[in-house]
Amino acid sequence: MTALRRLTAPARLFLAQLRLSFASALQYRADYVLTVFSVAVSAAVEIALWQLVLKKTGQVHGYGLADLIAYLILANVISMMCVNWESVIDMSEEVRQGTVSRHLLKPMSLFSVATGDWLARKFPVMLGAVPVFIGLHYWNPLQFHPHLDHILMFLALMLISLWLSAEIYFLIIVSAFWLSENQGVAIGFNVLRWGFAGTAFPLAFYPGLLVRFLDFTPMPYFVYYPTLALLGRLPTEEFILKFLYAVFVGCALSFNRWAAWHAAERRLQTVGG
Amino acid sequence: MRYLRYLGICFRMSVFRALEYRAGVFFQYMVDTIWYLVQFALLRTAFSYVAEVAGYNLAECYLFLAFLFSTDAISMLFFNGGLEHFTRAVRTGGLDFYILKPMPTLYQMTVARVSLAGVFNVAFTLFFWSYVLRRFQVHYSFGHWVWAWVLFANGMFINVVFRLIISCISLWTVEGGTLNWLFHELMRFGSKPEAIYGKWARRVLSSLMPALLLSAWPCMVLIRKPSAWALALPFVVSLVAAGVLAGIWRLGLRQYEGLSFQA
Repeated sequence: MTALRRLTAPARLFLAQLRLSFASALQYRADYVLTVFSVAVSAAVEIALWQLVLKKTGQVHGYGLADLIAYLILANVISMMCVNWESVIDMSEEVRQGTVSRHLLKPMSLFSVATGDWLARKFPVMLGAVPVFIGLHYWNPLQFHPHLDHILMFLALMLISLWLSAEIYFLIIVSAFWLSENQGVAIGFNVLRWGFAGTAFPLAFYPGLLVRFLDFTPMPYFVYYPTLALLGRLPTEEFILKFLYAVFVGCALSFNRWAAWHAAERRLQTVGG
Repeated sequence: MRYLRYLGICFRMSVFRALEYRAGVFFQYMVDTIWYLVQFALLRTAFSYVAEVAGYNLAECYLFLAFLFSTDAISMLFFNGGLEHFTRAVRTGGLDFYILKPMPTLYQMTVARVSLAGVFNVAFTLFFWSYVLRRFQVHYSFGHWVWAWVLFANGMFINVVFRLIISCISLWTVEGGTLNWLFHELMRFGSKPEAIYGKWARRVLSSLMPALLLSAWPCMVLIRKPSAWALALPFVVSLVAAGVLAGIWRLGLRQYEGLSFQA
């Protein structure tokens, strides 16, 4: 029994952190409304532009207007689920001000604290996004008919997306140990993500060379591939290849995160905020 | 003259601050460069499939981007830091110090944090302008250019006034980080030419939410033959917005409870 408790201790601690951050996230209800508004603006602006293009070309890379609308709405909802603005900036601020020490006293890693805090802030958004999406689909049916295998592939890629995001955002937080001001790194990464992760339009629209380059980076795994999977546009063989490559990238990022944290620990000088 | 002198002082202070956080200036500049790159990539990609979108050809699309980057660069250089700081100053009571100084408070708040990174943005924008003008050999009449730049200046004024109106809401809500976010979301409509929107959307985006009046309108005036109403509209909007700001600021100040525990 004791051995089992010891084994499950990290998971229980992580859940405790999630509960704590979730309660804190619920205080900011206005953020949820704005997040949904932000998805609507982002999708609306791109739809306005691309509908004019599609009016002339009929379709681009197999996307007609209805397909593109479904893609953009899904991609923006997925992007909203795994992007990290507040948590990464708040944690970096804590590193800079020394108040991070309160987290180091907890019997869990800082990575778990940061990831728990981020996911807990995302839960209200995730829970809230689903009814909005279903309502939209009911009001104006989208070109969206997922089968069970599409949903399973989507869930697998969504987990990958969250994993890669957690690793990269933690690396950004750790950069605060070296940089006096790392807010720019977080914002810069999120802007890059918005442009090159497939949130603004399917990555296939970009020139071939750029698409091939992006395929080597984690970028398409944040939004593009999960969206393609849910839309049934990712064949199973391609899914397996992409999934394996993403796991490889995730392991590499995890190793980097581990090494960066150990280097950062040595630089830690805190007076307890 | 004293306004310019105050601006000079703010700039000097921000240079001192920037020299303390050199990496911060570098990353601020990098963020803006990435933003320019992404905007360029998004709009340029659409033009790789068609020669013309909403009556804009490639050269006109580049001109629009030049106006868009200019709006961003000037805003980052002079206003953005101060206006981001506004809601925080309300929350912490730091606004008290600005109210006490013998200079209009809103002006002080607007230029309080002139950014050194903004100078690099302006340099980048000038480079982009020279590239566009050289590559496309655009020829518009002197009158068109004058109108475009007058409307650009008016657009900057609207930008500041609209942002101040949104920031002033924090005098009631106290917590205002979300308001800055709201402003940025609304302004995203202005990141594309005005002609991509339908008639009603265009009306709303050039009056109630004047995102199109910042970069899209000056560009439209330069490359089209606009009606007298299209030329007059931005000035009407800026007058109304200035009136609304004056009212909301006066009302808001009555709500403001200075805390003064943190500058």
